[in-house]
Amino acid sequence: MLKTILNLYLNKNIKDVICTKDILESIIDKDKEYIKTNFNFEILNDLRSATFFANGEVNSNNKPVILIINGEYLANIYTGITEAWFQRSNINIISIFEKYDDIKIEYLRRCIPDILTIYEENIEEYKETIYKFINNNMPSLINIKYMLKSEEKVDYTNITNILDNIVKNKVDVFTYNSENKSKNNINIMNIERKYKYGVLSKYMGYVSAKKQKTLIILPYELLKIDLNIFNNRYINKNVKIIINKKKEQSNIKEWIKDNDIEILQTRNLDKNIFEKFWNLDKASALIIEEEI
Amino acid sequence: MYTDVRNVQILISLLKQFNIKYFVNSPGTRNTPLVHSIEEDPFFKCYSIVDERSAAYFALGLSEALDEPVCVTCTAATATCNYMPAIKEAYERNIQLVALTSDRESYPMFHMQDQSINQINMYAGYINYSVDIPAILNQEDEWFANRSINEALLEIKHKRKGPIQINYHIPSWGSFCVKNIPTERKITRYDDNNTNWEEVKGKLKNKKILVFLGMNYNKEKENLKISIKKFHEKYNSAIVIDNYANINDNNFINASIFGDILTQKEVQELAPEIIITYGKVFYSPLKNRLNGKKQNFEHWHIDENGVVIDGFRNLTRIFECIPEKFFDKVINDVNIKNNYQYDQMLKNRISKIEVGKIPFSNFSVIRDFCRIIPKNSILHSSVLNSIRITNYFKIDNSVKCYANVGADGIDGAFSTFLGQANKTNEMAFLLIGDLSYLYDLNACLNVNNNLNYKNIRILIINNYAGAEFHKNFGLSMIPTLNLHIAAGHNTKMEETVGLENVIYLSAKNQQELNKAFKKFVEKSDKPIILEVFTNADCDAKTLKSFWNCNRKEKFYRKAVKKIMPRKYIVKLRKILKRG
Repeated sequence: MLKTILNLYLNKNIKDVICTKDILESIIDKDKEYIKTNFNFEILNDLRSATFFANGEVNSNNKPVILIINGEYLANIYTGITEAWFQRSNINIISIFEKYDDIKIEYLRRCIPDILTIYEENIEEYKETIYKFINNNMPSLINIKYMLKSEEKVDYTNITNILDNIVKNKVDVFTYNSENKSKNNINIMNIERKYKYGVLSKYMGYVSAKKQKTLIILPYELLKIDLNIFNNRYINKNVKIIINKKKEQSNIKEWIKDNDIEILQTRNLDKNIFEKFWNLDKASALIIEEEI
Repeated sequence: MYTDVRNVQILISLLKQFNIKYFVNSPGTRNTPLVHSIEEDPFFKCYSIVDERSAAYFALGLSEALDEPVCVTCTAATATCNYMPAIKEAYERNIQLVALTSDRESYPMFHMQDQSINQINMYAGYINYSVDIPAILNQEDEWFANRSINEALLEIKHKRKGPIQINYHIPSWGSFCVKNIPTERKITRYDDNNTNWEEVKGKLKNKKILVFLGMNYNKEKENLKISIKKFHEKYNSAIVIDNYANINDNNFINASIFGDILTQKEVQELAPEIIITYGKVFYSPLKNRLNGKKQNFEHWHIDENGVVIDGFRNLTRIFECIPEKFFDKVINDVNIKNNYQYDQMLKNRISKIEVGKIPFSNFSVIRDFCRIIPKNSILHSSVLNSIRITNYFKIDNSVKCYANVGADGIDGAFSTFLGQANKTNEMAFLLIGDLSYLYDLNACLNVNNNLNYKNIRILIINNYAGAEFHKNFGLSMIPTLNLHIAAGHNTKMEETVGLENVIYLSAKNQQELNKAFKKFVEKSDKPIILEVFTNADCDAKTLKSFWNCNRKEKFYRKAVKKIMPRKYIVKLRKILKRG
């Protein structure tokens, strides 16, 4: 269905597509290829940034743009789209949901006048409405159902095993998208994929109240959508962050360091480096760099 | 020092009383009156995070760790949109976030005003409760702000934990010149977990208590009646009802008339120290005269769902339970007896009410009608005078009374009545005016064509206009009243019904009415419609005359009212600033 809708835009010579990295990685290869071949597309990490970016493109180019997003994170467009509504920016949002039940958009009606949910595979009957949206010079939202590729679960057993052996009292451990279970000395709190925004901010709030060392293990990708939280006054010695990073990914070590967090880095996690990281008497981050 | 901005003072006072002390602040101008006040107050624990999206997520983590509500506060406009992702997550994961969104003046919004978006209920769909607090200009604003903030704070963990929004308007940021802020009225909701019944009993002892029962159409009320009677025997209380409480006892008082005749002095004298209410809707006009702030009484409300009803402006307690439980708990192990002083005060005043000699009018027709309604019947009164006047007169205790008093509209009385009649084998009476009857005329088709409603009796009082408007304005004030406002007409309702399945009776004077009433209450194989013709202007004057005769007003006031045209009285009131 995504391809058929995009074709309608193509018919009207609208070729600028903006999408977040997560959505591009989750749509099926055939559709990904179609977008890459037929559209000028830009990829951003943070959906809030992507919405403002889309607004900037419309301003500059005076042409509608298409913003393809994962409906799970729709709330993040609210700020940018509110500004876009004032500016009458023609941002055409295509929001992908895995279930129709997940479409709860009442709050957006004040800043997106044109909203359409497509229930049929045959979109012929929606064609005129979509063309009307394109001509409206206002933000619009089309909700569609589409099965996204599921994100592979991450196994943090090697980390939790080490931690379980070296601590004596129960420790809270936040993991992202894992199936790891709590152990004797470890209370695992797994963060689901749909709550990936603000993961570090939530963690910082949690640690500032808990007054004990608390670990978070997260992929580098999530830092990129919550970077500014490192600039807070409440970072203390109980902050313990493990970051899984691929080698080719850009480096934000300096930014983390500037915010008074000691950085340790390794390619092979072992007990020694973990103990060093854990026992540091200040906030610390351990970057585990994976080879590709 | 605290801000002098009143709505912020109320907010701070209530947050303290609800023991909400954690704040994650984001920088901004509009929220400065709040932020500077709380950062100076050691009760509050503040954090500072610049980006509101991160701030709300930070607060979410904080709240999760503490299992306590955490406030986030920011300036107006898109700043508030940034809370949305965390609000959504808080709603889905039952986390207690309190979004305190400061706002600008509403009127210039979208008209060249900077930093101004529609923030009212802006997290719709993902919020436990959302309120919009105006800048405070008068006592009504103050009550509204207090009540609304209470309502919102009560919903943080009522039924489910989750986020709330309090949007508050700051047209100007005032100054920080207030040393102490006043303690504002707090509404507390009590349930099994937090009710200390001994404390409740202690509060009730030696107080003048008015138990005020409103609409209740539940079938099983015998236990409630027993509990209330026992309460009445023990505490210095009076039990007031309206017809729609449907819980009748000769010791209970229908005090609806008080709403129309008591002077301010009498209201002050007869006011209780505590009012206890139960009911979904409260018709009795007495509610309009009682004000907890002015007469210094507390209001306690009993409701199975813990709903906030603050009609007396001083609700302090909500008991989330069935009323039987409340009354049983407070009478348990209490060795006191009602001295009936307060009860007698109200009954004495009621006993002084006289109808006197009145002309043939809707008032006299309804008075006579109330006397003849057979035991165990049901009665549906349509609207305004039908409801008002039936509440002035005694109806047999066994009669079950209905009216659409929720929104109190003219619209569907006839249809509602047919639904009620369809589910009873007893006699079913509808008391309805001409306009209300015409309004819902489609319901007639049911009577004639489809259903066998031989138990129904419809009394239509046809005064060829909306008599309410004759009461409110009168022909002397608006000579063209019947043209549009009172929708005058010449229609006889006889013309509106196909009469083959209905017995039609009519009356235009007392003699004809007496005769018709006899037949009206007899058994019949067909529905009976009785149409009584009165004069709208006369109806209005009769009602007013009844009120005036029973008002204990000073002689000069009565004299002025009698001789001075209404428009001059209105002017005089304005000059004297009495509304």
